[in-house]
Parts: sequence; structure tokens; C-alpha cells
Amino acid sequence: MSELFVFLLFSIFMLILFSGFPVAFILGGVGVLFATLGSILVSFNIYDVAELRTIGFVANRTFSTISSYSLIPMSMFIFMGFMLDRSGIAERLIGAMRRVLGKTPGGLAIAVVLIGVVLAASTGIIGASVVLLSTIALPTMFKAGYAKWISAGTVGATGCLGILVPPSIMLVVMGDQLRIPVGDLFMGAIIPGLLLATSFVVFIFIYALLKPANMPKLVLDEESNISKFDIILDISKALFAPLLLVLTVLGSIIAGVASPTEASGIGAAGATFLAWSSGRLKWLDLRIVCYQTGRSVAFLYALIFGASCFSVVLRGYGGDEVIENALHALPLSPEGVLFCVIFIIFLLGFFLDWMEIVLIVAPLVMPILVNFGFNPVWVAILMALCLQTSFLTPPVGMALFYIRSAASNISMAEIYKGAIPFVMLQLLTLTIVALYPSLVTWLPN
Amino acid sequence: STVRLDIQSAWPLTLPASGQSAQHLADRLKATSKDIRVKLYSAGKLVSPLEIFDAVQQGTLDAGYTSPLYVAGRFPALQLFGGVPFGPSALEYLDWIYNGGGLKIWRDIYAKQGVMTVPCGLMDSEAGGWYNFEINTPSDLKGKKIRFAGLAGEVMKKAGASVVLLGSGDIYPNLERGVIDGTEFSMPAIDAAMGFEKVAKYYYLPGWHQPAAINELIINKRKWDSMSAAQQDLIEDTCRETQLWTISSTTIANAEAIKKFKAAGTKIKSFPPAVLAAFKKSTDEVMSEEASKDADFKRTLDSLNSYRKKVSLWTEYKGN
Amino acid sequence: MRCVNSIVKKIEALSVAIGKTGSLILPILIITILINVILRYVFNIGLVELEEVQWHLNAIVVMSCLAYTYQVDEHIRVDIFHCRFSPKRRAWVEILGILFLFFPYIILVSWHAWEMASYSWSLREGSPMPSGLPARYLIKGFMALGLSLLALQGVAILLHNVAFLIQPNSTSTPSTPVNKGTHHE
Ligand code: NA
Ligand code: NA
Repeated sequence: MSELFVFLLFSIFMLILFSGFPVAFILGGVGVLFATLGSILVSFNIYDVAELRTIGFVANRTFSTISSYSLIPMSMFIFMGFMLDRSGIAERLIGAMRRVLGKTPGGLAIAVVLIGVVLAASTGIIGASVVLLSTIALPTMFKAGYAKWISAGTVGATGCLGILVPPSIMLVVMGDQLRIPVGDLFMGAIIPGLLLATSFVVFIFIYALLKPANMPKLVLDEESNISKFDIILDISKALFAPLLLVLTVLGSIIAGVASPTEASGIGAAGATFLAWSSGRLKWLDLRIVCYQTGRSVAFLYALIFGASCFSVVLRGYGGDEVIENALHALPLSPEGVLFCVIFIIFLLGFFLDWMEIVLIVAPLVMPILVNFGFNPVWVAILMALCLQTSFLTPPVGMALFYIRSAASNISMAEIYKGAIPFVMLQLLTLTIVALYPSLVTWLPN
Repeated sequence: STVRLDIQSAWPLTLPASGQSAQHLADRLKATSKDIRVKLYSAGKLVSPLEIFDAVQQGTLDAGYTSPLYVAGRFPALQLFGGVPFGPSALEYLDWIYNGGGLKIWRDIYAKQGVMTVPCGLMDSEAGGWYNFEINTPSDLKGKKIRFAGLAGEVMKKAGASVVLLGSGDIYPNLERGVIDGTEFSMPAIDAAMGFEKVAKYYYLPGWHQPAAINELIINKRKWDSMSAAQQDLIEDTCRETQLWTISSTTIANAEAIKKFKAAGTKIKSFPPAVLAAFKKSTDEVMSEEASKDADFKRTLDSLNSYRKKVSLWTEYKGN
Repeated sequence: MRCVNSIVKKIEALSVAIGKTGSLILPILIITILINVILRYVFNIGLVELEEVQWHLNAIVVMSCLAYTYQVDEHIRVDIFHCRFSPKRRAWVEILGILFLFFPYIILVSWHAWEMASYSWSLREGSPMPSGLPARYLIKGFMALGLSLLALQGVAILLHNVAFLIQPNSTSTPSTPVNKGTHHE
């Protein structure tokens, strides 16, 4: 009986999801509909369901969510991201980088990846990075003769690094939901994040050697008389401020000097200072950054509220036991179960956003996996790596939408094609991290 | 008629003494009753531990297995049921609850909120805490950052420590990084699950701040009144049995935990008499301050003190 | 119809005003965190009050922006099909969604939130932490208020879409077809 209802709950949610009504309200609404159904079932003496009174928990849980100290970094990192977006750092970086890497095979794409890493380490939001890279780098890449699909893939995958490389709001939410210290998650994500970026660079380099037609070398006419010293000075200047900020924020979390909330507040203040000192911050800009942040924070919290309603109704219908029994019934070793879970998350990632998966699925499976004796930080990072692919997998791949919305002269089919090699690279990295847990656990210890 | 009782525990069901007691209660009720259908949820499955009271009060949740300390902010008197600094030993505590009028006051306070309580799980003495510095004189605490809760936290403040509150998941990393210098947590069996021996040098035993504590089963009053007398009696009896089960469930585990700490190089120490005397003096001050602020607190404290005084001739002669 | 339009406009103006005002609290939150950091690391003072102020401020930002975010249509949607629907069809999605999902959910939760706030008021509830902030009913009340404002914004969007279906020319297209997700996640 429970199995049937749990199945119905998930499938009706998935079905309505494609209507295009806001996801947060679908989650909450489907929860309430099933609680109503539960109250009707109880009057027919069918028990082990969620009843309408269950929705009372949602108000309590909503209050727990807004009073959670561990979610404050989410607001701060979003603010920091929008503020850095205003400071014009990315434009200066790409100008400097293309001179250094112009002669290397795939140099422009590699420059995009390196800038992506810097952006990733300085913001916790990916939408901003993808849009920024799309607007700045894509036209440059097209002009240099790069194939459209590989350019789009590079920009999309690189822009998504920010969700894994700390600071990351995904890891903040995971820490809150799975009760893992955010600092540990941040540290655990550093090596896998860098590994992923390295795999992008290596792939681009090899691909450019094999198919130079798709990634031609740059013709740097106007800058031929600039000395090497000037180039280095230029790039150092462009890199100095953001790197200092990154080192302050991440450094203080990792060294244990500051809590994630404190560090994120310092980061938000630092980004504001950078934007101000570059002369780009007017009162109006500050207000716009606040409005943008307020809206992003509101839609993320709305998703948490909605998912919390959905989850509590799911629990009432015995969802926890159904999933636990199903996983235990698999004739597999603990490693096999872990593989299964990660694979299911990968599949769900085609249709769902990371938020829904982190909020609904992760809390269901995490206790079971931890009971098997797996390191929770390692499991969380595996999930995070897997969720990162969800941004690039059609039909619901947010990064793909962002590119489409920021660049008009490229088709969705080309964007999809470009994403494929990078999804493969992400799965490769996921496999490496799965085989060598110490890549994650070494830094937190 | 059959009654359905959804209970949420304030602790994970695997946690010694507290969460395991909730599981024990549910198991016993399932085994002995045909007409009470218990469904037990682990900590946080429906609401956060701090919100259990609200959910029960509103009738969203039938019942909660929790500690009165979790609502101490609203009903300060209830702190005296969740464990008292320099308070009674476990048996004396039960004595006061059942025979000395304690339970009546406890239930009175909850009844005004539409909630029924059944004492349900007697907890053995807590440890004195984990520290990265030695406490030889009361002044050693000055300026130190310590995680402490409730009345004992106020006592530590009077000793000059700066008291911080951290969720249980945040204690370990903050102790490791030196953000805090010490923490009170629970009894050795529960502390062992936290791994504090890896990040703290000294373990102080015994604890002065909580010689005994009692957990409770709180039930929505309308739900309670909808039960038959037989059902109510069965719950009361099962909870009395759970009191015994809980206090005897951790003795061996506590001893084994201390053995484990010693093996890990932890220095086991006890508070010098001068320090304890200073704590006792501050405790008396804190108690009278609280009593002057809250009438229920005063009433409860008076009841406890007069009971202890009444039985003192016997308890002193038998020497605990 | 003109009357409906003016109601819609008034509600939406309210949502936007509260959302924008609320989001301007963010710089205050940043300053509060900085003060907290300075007190702790320079003066060795840890204040429970100041840490509670932080989540109070953050909560005010969140609750005041919920309705505003719906007004500017930034609550995330899975819009692979939605963006190809005709304006009429999108209006139907919004009307049915609001009636059968949004209202049951938001109104029920708001109602429970008001109950929570009024119980908290009856106790004159403060923070459970020693030396925490008093008057917890205020923030609980603000939560109920934010949810109610979101419900009200839902009414505005519902009316707007109904008006659009009845008289497509008298009102603007309710939800814009462009993908607005340019700076999310
Ligand atoms: Na990041
Ligand atoms: Na996807």
C-alpha cells in the first residue's frame, strides 16, 4: 500500500512539474493534495498515511528553516556573486588571459576554464558565471573561429564549476539538510573541483591538437609589441583582488578561524568593497544587487519550504521505509547500493534541479549509506559531483537554458551537443573520486 | 476503541539512553497493547526537536518523547524537572516526582497549555564535561569559552566563563579548532559517540550540573482525554517501566566509554572541592534569581527543597 | 474589468514595495556579521544576541521577498514546454495551478503560521537561549505576514490571468514568455 502511494506521490509531482507552474508551489500543493487524500482515506479506516493536520508541521518547519543559522551563508554568497558580477573583474581577466594563452592549442577555451575556476572560487552561484562567460567569452570564441557547440559546452561546464568549487550554496544547503559541517564539505570539494577543471583543460588541449579546425590558434595582431613583463603585470593586477578575496573567505573557513556565516559576510563586504574601489558601484547598483539577491534567496527558500511540505507528507505515507526497504532488498553489496543511489540521482538530474534532489532524495538515502559505514562527507561530495551533471543534462539543464538566454545566435541542439563531452568528463571525475575516497577525505582531516 | 499515537523523539532512535528509550517505550507499547497503535518517528523526521512541544500543543503531533529542558525558555520552572545542578540523585528525584508533589506541579504547568506529560526515562548522572585546560581554582574559568546550557550555563557565567550555545553537530569542529575551550555534553556512553576524546585533553567526572535527569512523554491533552482509562494507565505504567530501563541501560556502556577514553590518552579528573563550593554558591544565587523572576519556578523549587529537607535525616544517615 | 486591473495593480505595488524594502536589509545583515566578527576576534566578545539578530534579519529578507519574487515571475519553473505554450494556455496553467496547488498550500500554511504566532504572543515568547532576543512572536508574526502577502500576490496573478482570458486586449500578457532565469542558482 505504502509503495503505491509513494509511487503516486512522486509520479504526480513529476507530471505536474512539466506544466511549467512554479516548482516550489507544485511541491507544496501536491503535498497538501495528498494530505487531503490521506484524511479521506483515514475516514475509510485506511491508515499509515499523512493527514491534513500534517500540514501543521510545515509551518513549524518553515520557521526552523528561516531561523537556521547555517543557511545564512546562502544569502551572503549570492550577494557576493552579484556584487562581483558588477565589479567587472571577469572582463579584465579574459582580456589578460587571452594574451597569455593565445598561442597554446585551445588556448582561448583553456583561458575560459581558468577564469571559470577563479569565478567558481569567488561565488557560490552558477547562473551568474554561466551568463557572464556566455556574454563575454562566447562572442570572442566565435570570432576566433571556434566551433559553436564546443564553445557552448566549455562555457556551460566551466560556469557550473561554481556549484562544486567552494564557496557553493549547494554545499551550504547539503550541510544544513544532512547535518554535515559546511567547512568539511567545502574542504572535501576542493580537490574534486580542481580535478574536474584539470580534466576540462586536458580534454580541450588534446581536442585542439586533434581538431585544430574547431579550435584555431588566436591571431594576436594588435598586441605583438607588448612585452612579457607587461602581460604578467596586467594579469597579476586583474587576478590580485579576486584571489585575495577568495583566499580570505575560503582560507578563514578552512583554517577554522571563522564560521561559514562569518566568512560569507566578510566575502559579501569584500566584494562590495572591490566593486566600489573599481569605481563601478553607485547607490543604484547597490540597490539592484540587493533586489537581485532578495529575489534569488526568496526563490531558493520557497523551494526549501515546498520541498519540506512534500517531504513531510512523503514521510507520513511511509516514504522513508519504502526507500529503505527497496535499497535493502537489492541483492547488492554496500558499494553496489551506493552505485545504485548515485546512478538514480544522475537519472533524476535529467528532470529535477539540484535543490529538489538535495532536499527530498538526499535526506532519505544518506542515513542508509552512512549506516553502511561510508564517510558522509565523501558520499555528499559524490552526490554533489553527480548533481553537477544535472545542470548540463537535457531536458532540464539550467546551464543550457542560461547559455540560450544569454547568446542568441546558437541553437539548442548545438548547446546539447557541446554538453555531452563535458558530462562524460564529469562522470569520469565522479568515477575517480568514487575509487579514491581519500581525494575527498584527505583535506578535512 | 483503538487509538493511534504518532510520537516523535527529540533524539535519534539509536542514541543511548535518550533515543533508545523512546524506541523501548514504543516497543513495549506495541508488545503489551492491542488498542494503542504507536508510530514512532526519529529526531527531525517531522519537526525539529525544539518544535516538538509546539506541534503537540497544536495537535499536529499526538505526542513527543523529549526533555523538559527544550521548553525551558518559555516555562523556566520545567528546568527543575529536566535536571538540577547539585540536585537530587536519581532515586531521590523519582521520589520527589511521584511522592513529593513534583509530578502535580509538572502537570499543572503543562495543563495550562493543553498538554499532558508522563515522566518517562530516568537518566543517570552526566559527566562534568570536556576541557582543554585544567580547572584547579574557580578563577581558571575566567575568559574561557565554554559550551554550556540552561541553569548550569548561568552558573558558568558567574564563574567568569563566556558561555556559547552550539548545536550538537558544531561542538566537535569548534573544540578541535579552539573556538571553544570546553563543553558539557552528556554521560560517557553518549559522549563516546561524539568522539570528543580526539579533541579534548581533560574529562571531568562526576558532573555537578546534572546528577540525574528525567525525559518525558508529552501528549496533546485532547488526545489524552480521548483515551480510555485503561489505555492511559498502560501508558503511565509503561513509562514507569521505561524509567527503570533507561537508568540501567547505560551503566556498562558508561564504564566501557571511560575505559575507551583512558586508552585514547584522555586525562580523567574531578573538580577540586573549592571549585565545587564556588559552583554551589553560584547555583544557589542563580536559583534564587530565577525564583524571583518566575512564580512557577519558585513554587517548584520550594517543593523540591522542602521535600529534600523532609527526607534529609534518612538520606544523610544512609549516605546515599 | 478596470476595477479588477486596479486591484491587481495595487496588490502588485504592495508586493514590490515590501520586497524591495525588505531586500535592502541585506547590507545591514552584512554589517551585523562584520560587527560580530570584529567583536569576537578583536575584543574576544561573543554575543548570542548578535547571532540571533543575523538570522532575524535574514528571515525578514526572505519573508518579504516571497511575494515580490512571484510578482516578477522568478519562482523557478520547468519551462521546457511552458515557454512554447500560447499566452492563453499559460494563463490556464497559472489559474489551475493557483486554484488547486498554490492556494491550498499557501493558505493552509499561512493559517498554521498565524496560529503559531498568536500562541507565541500569548506566551510573550522570547528566545530559548540565555540572553537571546526577546519578542520571538514578532518574527513568527512576520513569517505569517510574508506567507499571507504571498497568498495575496497569488490572488493578483489569478485575477490578472482570468481578466486576460476574458478580455485578452484589456490587460497585458500575464506571464512573459522569455526565460527569465538569467541569474539564478
Ligand atoms: Na563556488
Ligand atoms: Na538536467
